[in-house]
Amino acid sequence: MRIAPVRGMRTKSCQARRLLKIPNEYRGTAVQLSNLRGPVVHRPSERFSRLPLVTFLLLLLGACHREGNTSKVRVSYEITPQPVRVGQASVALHLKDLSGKPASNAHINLEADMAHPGMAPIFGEAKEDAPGEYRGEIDFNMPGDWVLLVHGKLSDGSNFERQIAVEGVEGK
Amino acid sequence: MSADSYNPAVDLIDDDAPFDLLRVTGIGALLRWRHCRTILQIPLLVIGVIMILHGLLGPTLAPKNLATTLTWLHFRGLLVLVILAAGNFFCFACPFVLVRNVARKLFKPRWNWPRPLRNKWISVGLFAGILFVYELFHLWSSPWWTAWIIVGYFAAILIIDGLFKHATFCKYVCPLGQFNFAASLLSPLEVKVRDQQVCGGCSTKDCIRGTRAPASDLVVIQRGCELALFQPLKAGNMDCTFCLDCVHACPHDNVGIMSRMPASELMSDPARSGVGFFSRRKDLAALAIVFTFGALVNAFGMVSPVYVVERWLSRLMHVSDRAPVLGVIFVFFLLIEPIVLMGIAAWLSRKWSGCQRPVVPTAVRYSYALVPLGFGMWLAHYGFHFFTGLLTIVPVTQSAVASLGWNILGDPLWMWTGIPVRFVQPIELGFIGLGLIGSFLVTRRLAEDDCAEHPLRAFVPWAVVCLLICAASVWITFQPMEMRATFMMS
Repeated sequence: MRIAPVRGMRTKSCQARRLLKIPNEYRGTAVQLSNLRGPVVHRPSERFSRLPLVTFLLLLLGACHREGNTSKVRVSYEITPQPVRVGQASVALHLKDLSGKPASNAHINLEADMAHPGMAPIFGEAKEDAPGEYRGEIDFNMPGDWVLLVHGKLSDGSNFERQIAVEGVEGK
Repeated sequence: MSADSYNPAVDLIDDDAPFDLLRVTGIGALLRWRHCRTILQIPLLVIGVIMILHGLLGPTLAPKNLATTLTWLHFRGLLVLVILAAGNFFCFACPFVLVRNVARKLFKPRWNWPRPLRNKWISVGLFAGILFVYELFHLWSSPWWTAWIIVGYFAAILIIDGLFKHATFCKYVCPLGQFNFAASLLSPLEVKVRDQQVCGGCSTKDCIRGTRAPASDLVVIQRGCELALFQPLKAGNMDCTFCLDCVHACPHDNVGIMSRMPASELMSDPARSGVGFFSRRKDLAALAIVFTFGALVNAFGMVSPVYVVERWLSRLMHVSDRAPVLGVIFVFFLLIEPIVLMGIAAWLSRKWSGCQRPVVPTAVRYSYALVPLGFGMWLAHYGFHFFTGLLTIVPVTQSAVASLGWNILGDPLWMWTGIPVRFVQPIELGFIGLGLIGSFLVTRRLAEDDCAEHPLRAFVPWAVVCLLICAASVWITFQPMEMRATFMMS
């Protein structure tokens, strides 16, 4: 059996060398293992020895994955009435660009989702009633925790999105 | 009837013979095919991997993620409906077992599961623990945690069954499997022998030992039952994963998937292969209790009054953390309430009927009679989410595919949800009503067996317990749903 110094084989060959006590000078070279010591026993478990590590790293990648805030706009908001109850609620959005000036002429859609899957989202639109000031209505149709999604398109054509947690919408 | 003389055509027109799914044209041939299980497991494994990836890498909003939508709406709903309509076919198609089978080609387990652990206590604890964690961490609202639970499940079965022989994970550990075992006591189908006389003449017992190679008795070419259920002595669905290994192993083609009266196995207490007597198994009784009362707690956690109770308890206990508050609720509903209710019912039943059985064995014996009611509540709860959110899989899938840059399924149809609540609520009540009828019938039969002279006196206390559980179920069903992923302390 030959262990060639090819990509993907290094760890395996290192393990094999360690197991068979192969001198270091053979590192990185093709080695005729059968000439060294004892029969080579190819354990299936070795073939998959890096699988848990790769899986773990992949999952860690998922753990690190979060939507970044790369927008050109700052968004603040008010929802009335407070506390939010089942029924119509008014959503006021204040948009400013990074220099602090009101961001006008944006097109903003609202979407409210329940925390639990299986519920239809509620859609609405926020209209500009003063420079950088937008107002829309959302009909929260059941109590519980909601997430308000603000989908926006700025006057320069760039898009932005914000998530606003609306926790504990109370029953009527 | 021997295998040689068996004629399917005659069997199909014999009104007295029970229905046998394996003798239905097409389906029967498919199920008898040796690779049928694998073929069904592969798509579920693929879906499982997609759910993990979408849960970890996809949208963080539960209604837009495949992991949460499929797990908490479609999988749970289909699971209970399939068990109600047929049998434990989700264990049959379990993708975790497929991964385990592949892993076992690489790692051979060496040990037997320790004898003191050969019971349901661990799995009952895990079952209750999962219900607790589900509420505490709002698993339904977290694609990330949902994905990790699936990963954890794969890891758990690989570790347990990588170390221990047979289907140790399925029989002694898997909380989902225990749920399926308990629910399948109500299934209309059961894997059982067709003709006991054929088994009487069988010398090889392949259904339990496995089919051995002609050349060497040590080489198993078709495994027998991994859950230690010896077909001639098997009674009912407890511990049966519907894996059909016994069907494939039986050299006489004497094992079928037969019809039966749902819950009929709860009306008698025979010695069951691999299980023993129900009435002597406190661990199984605990499973029945957690299954029944857990159905109530799980649904109660989704309605508005639970937050009133939580706020009241948090003030009473002077704590702001949700875990101890929820812990008190779970201890009350899964431990104190069942002990009190069943203790009183057992004591009254014994006193009024004159039955000589002590209180605890009486409570153990009758605990299984509550399983139909519990299953009714699980059906009502999971059925509600399944039916009202049935079509949400369409926009979520569209969105997932579009997020990969392939807009081949069109724009997500987010307004697609499912059947309106007003149509689903009568179905929920129907499930609970069926459960009540089932529990009444089982309780009545047990009372008749226990006390031939005064069966009504033995029956009434348990009937009251059933009515209380039913009333609680109906009350929860009509409460406004309120799903919060945060603990409101104020």
